[in-house]
Amino acid sequence: MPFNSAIFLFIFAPFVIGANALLPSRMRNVFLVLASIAFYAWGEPHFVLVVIASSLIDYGLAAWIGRSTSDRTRRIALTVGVVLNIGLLLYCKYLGFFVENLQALFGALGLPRPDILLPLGISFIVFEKITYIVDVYRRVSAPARSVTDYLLFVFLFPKLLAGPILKFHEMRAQIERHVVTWDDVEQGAFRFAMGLAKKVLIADSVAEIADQVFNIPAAKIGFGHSWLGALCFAVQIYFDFSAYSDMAIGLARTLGFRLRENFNQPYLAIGFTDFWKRWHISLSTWIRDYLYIPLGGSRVSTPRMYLNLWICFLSSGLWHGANWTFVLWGAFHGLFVSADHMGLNRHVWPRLPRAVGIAVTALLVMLGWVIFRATSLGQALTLFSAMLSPARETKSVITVELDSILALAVGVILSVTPLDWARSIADRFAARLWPSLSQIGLLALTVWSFGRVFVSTFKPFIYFRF
Amino acid sequence: MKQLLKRPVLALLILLTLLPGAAMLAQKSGVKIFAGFTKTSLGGVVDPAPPPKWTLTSFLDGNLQKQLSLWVPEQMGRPRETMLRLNNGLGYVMGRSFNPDVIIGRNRMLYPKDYVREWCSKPRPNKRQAEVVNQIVKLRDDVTASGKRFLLVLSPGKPSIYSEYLKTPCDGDSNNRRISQIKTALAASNVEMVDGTVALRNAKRSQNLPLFGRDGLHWNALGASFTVNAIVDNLERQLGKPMPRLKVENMTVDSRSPVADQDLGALLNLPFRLWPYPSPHPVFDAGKEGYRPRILMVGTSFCWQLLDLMGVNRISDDLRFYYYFSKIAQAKEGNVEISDVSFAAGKDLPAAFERAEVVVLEINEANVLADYTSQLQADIARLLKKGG
Repeated sequence: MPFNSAIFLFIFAPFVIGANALLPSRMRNVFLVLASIAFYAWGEPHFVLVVIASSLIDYGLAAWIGRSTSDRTRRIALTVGVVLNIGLLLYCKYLGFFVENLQALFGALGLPRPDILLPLGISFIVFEKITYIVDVYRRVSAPARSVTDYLLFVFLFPKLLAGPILKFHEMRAQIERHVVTWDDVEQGAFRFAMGLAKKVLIADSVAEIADQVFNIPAAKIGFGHSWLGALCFAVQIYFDFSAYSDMAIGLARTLGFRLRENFNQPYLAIGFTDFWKRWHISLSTWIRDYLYIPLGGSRVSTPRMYLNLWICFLSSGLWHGANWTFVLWGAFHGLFVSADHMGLNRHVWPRLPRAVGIAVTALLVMLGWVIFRATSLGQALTLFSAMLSPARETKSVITVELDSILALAVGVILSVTPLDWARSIADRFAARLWPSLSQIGLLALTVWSFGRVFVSTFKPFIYFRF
Repeated sequence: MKQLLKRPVLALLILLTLLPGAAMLAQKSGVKIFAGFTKTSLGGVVDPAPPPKWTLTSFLDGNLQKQLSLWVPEQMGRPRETMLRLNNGLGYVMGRSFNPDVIIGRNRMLYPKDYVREWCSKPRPNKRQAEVVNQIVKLRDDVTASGKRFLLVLSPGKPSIYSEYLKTPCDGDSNNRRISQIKTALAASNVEMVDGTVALRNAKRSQNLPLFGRDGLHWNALGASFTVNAIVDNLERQLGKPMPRLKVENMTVDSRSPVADQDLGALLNLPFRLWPYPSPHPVFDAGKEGYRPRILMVGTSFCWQLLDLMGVNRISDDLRFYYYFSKIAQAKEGNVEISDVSFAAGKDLPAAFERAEVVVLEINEANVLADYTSQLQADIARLLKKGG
């Protein structure tokens, strides 16, 4: 049930938000667990049972870790919990990829490619489940007060399918003392509306251009189209993903939960290290806390530190999808983060004018998105080749509508305008009016977004006096 | 409630979110007082989504979810329509059509997507195409063997006449389109033809008024009149008798286009009336002299204008039209009547064929492989065989 579907927007969300607010506090968590399980079961009617069973195992293991005084026992329980969760992810997401590459490497082994449909949100769910067991093991957090609390942490529907990736210790107090205020509903509703507008009015409009470019056959793509496609995809992926995070954060807020921010104007980053502090923050902090630091982080020898960085970025790439393009994308980022550590952060970025640093970083990130979006390494190379050949003419026609161009322009402007600066300007010149004006503007955008959502539900035929 | 009243914009947002669901509940309640809230007037025909089947199996295999996703929005009545229209209106202002079958060209010229695709494609000859050519030749042979005249009318798609307004230009004339291939094959068999594209392109060169409504799929009355006169030219030659022809007696041009010339615009489902554009309203006089043959015409929706012009102006005093060889319309002595009954043409054919002096088959260039040609040919062949 996507957030931008009519059934979610007009039936599921109003019902759940309303009921959650009206129910007595003690019943809210149970209600939300049931609603969230129903939400997940809508898309994964079979796999939901696996997630429930796996969560109950986590709950039991964490309780065991919490109770045990023996380090060995605690470590065994931790290992079992982590292995089970990683095993679930490997089986669902990577087994097919693994078998396929094994076949390619050693010739026909006669192994059938397993026909496993990737369950929705599996990468996010597994990572969150791991944080719980590890946090309890590290004594960062006590085990959950009840199964309901833990199931709510795992299944809370706003963040279930695409994050932000939560940590149990960040949510524990909010779950145990579940309060909803009118301020929460107001702030959450407008945050959700903003996310919806970003998704359906900007990301989806720009995606039309990006999709056309990335579908042009290799021999026909030219210089202009390749740059246009790269720019559009850079805007699309940021507005799509950050919109989802806005909607998740907004929805959770209407239910009484404050989730961590997941984006902080990533295209204003200077250097890749800075970029990863601004892009998908919940993933980068997860990788830092649960992979980089356990590997030794930067408290090890320099070569080992770089190895750790590369392990993290290759894993991050692979986490995004079981394809070599994602691994290469991870390596691309690993390369530039390593370069930052080697000296760019100290000797290059600080000496460049701020705008130049931002522009160079954004350009490199955009090149990285070409690898990310390409369907194969070959396509990525073709696109790079076209981007480097100004004389290469486009031999294909793409349709670009005015609203897509406007969406692209708005997307670029919003991406590179420092929002703190914009807010301070708004506060200076329209301090009293700004909150109301922004809400009215969002209301208008919401009507437009709802209309856009309904478009997919109405496809009339041409009938004439039949 | 007090808290909500302190937050009027939030209250509006909540209301906005609740309205579609409320419309759905109102519709399910069946209370008549809510009719204005639940009924919609969206243009175009849709296959209504079937009501969902609430079974565990359908839930587990995901069908229930798919059914609900299609069915639920359709129950959301006027709020859905209003928001949909608002979005479509904003899109139209920016030159975007949210109906995947309708393309907005330059100067807001609307095109049906299928027709543009046909205009821009370079098809290879196929088996069905050869079949259609053979069927038309057989049909001509059967009709003429019965002592009647046969005429094939090729009606143009909008891109053939107004390709200059396409945002993504392509040259259909150099594409050796399917219609060109069929035309060449039929000409080799000496099938009598009137090419509407030629008639309208000549007309376009000789005068400035539009021959297709900007917002319509079909030729307008003025555009169709040039084809009617081309048909008259051909039939005069075949019948050896002078016939009445359309002459423009009076012409007014205003911004009120007939409903039939706005059919594509209606499919855009906008919140406002389409922006005005010059629409010709010709009044014809065909005179009282000349021979008025009995005609049996079979074809597509392009024939409605032909029927009106030939019927009302009495080019023929007895014109029976089979729409896609299914529904029947009749023009008799200046009056046009259209039956509501579909699939009645086959039963009606023996009497109508017997009465007709001329059989006119119309095919549209974007729809040349349609089945009705085969049905007509088979039914006439059967009829003649039966008759001995």
